[in-house]
Amino acid sequence: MMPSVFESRIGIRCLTLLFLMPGPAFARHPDFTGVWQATPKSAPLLPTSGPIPFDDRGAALYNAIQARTKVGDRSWDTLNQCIPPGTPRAMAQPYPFEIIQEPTRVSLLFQLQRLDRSISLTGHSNMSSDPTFMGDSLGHWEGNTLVIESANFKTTPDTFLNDSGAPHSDQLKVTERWSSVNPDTLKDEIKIEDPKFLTRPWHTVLVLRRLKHVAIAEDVCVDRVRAKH
Amino acid sequence: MISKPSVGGTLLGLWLAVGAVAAPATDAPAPAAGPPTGGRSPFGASGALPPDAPKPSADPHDLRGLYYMHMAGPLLPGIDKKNPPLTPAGLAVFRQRLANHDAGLVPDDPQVQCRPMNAARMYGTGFPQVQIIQSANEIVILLMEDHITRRIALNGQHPAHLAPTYLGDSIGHWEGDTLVVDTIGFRDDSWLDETGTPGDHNEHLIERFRKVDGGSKLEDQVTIEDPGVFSQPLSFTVPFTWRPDATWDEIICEEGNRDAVDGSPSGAGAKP
Repeated sequence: MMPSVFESRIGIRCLTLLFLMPGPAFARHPDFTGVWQATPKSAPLLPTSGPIPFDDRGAALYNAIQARTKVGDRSWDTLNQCIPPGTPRAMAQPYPFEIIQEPTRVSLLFQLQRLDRSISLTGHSNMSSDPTFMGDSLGHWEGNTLVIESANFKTTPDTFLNDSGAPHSDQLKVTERWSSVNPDTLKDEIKIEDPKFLTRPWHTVLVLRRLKHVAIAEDVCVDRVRAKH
Repeated sequence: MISKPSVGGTLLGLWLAVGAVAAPATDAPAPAAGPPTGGRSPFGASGALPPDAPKPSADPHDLRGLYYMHMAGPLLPGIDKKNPPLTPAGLAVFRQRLANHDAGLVPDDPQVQCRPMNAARMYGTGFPQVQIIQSANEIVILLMEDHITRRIALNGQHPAHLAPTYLGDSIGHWEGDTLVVDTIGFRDDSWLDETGTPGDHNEHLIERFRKVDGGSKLEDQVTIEDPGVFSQPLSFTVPFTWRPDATWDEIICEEGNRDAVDGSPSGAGAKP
């Protein structure tokens, strides 16, 4: 049954009141503050269906990387040179990271190489105009979902989208939709756009598990990588 | 991209602001907002704040935001190269580091090797941008330089058995409107500044932060004790300025120092 005009007006007024009350309106958003880690521990970040829709240029780069990996050569992976793995790959690594959620900013503070990523919720970012490994992120709430758009990235061969070595260009745009499945599970629905290397956008999902009683350790990447050699 | 000293590069680089005030730590006037700049400025803000800039929170326990720290420089305040307040053991390490530098040896300075800096060394960082991030249980001091992340657990205790780290273990509590941060658990090969002022496992860093001028400034009273190294505690005050308009850059040490990562020689004989 359709609501009457009077009922609709009351509904709109109630909604308006909810948005005007900063405390309760903010409180209804999920609180992502805490320590998190991807599950599985090294998330593959591959499309939810089908292959990555590379164009010829992207496919040539990806095939070359995969051919090297096949013969045991992972020297292409700059993660082994302590180069930041970028967004979203940093979140998919087998290390915990911290999220601190504030009304105007969400900070990601990684154990891995002490990387950080700041998501501004004000519509304005303090990041410089130079491209970065982790990108420039702006976020906003759509109901209970935090929508984050990131761009202005450095490019392959410095960074890759995933552990398989999927390349990306300076046209990469990453759109994330963070939602709370339950208080200890964060679902990150990711859209990858890159008109230079892709024929169309592709989608993947990263699931994060909240870790309790886990402290972020000091990671000295130089020593960790040398110890592996 | 912002340049920073590379491995084997000049140790004593260009210092962009001198503003820390040596003891006694009292009501010393803070320097003017914004560091002095010359040539291409890495800073997105200097001088007065734009009129529409966000205001600091009125809550004295809410330190969140972006600040400029008025850095000390390549030597901690109170450290005089010729007559530093160091014990004989501390002086020997300090002089060896100076001699290594003068001899052109690649220093075993952890930061030059892309390792984290000692927590006290933040007062000599080359870039003034600092974020303070806050949750109910934690305050994080995030430096732009080398994305140094200092986690301060509120109302906690230091673990009984601490593995030594570069940044140490920090706990904090409020005394009235002053945040008192206590840090221990440092490594024996610490460099407390770029020149090589040493620190060891007895280093004890105490910082007292409080908002002044309605939050447009933070005052940070710093005390460093290290009985094995310092002949007396070192105290100085560092002002921070509220700069919500500052530009933040990503500084990745390893990007310009890939040979530091793959195990290239790092100046054999240049210890300590």
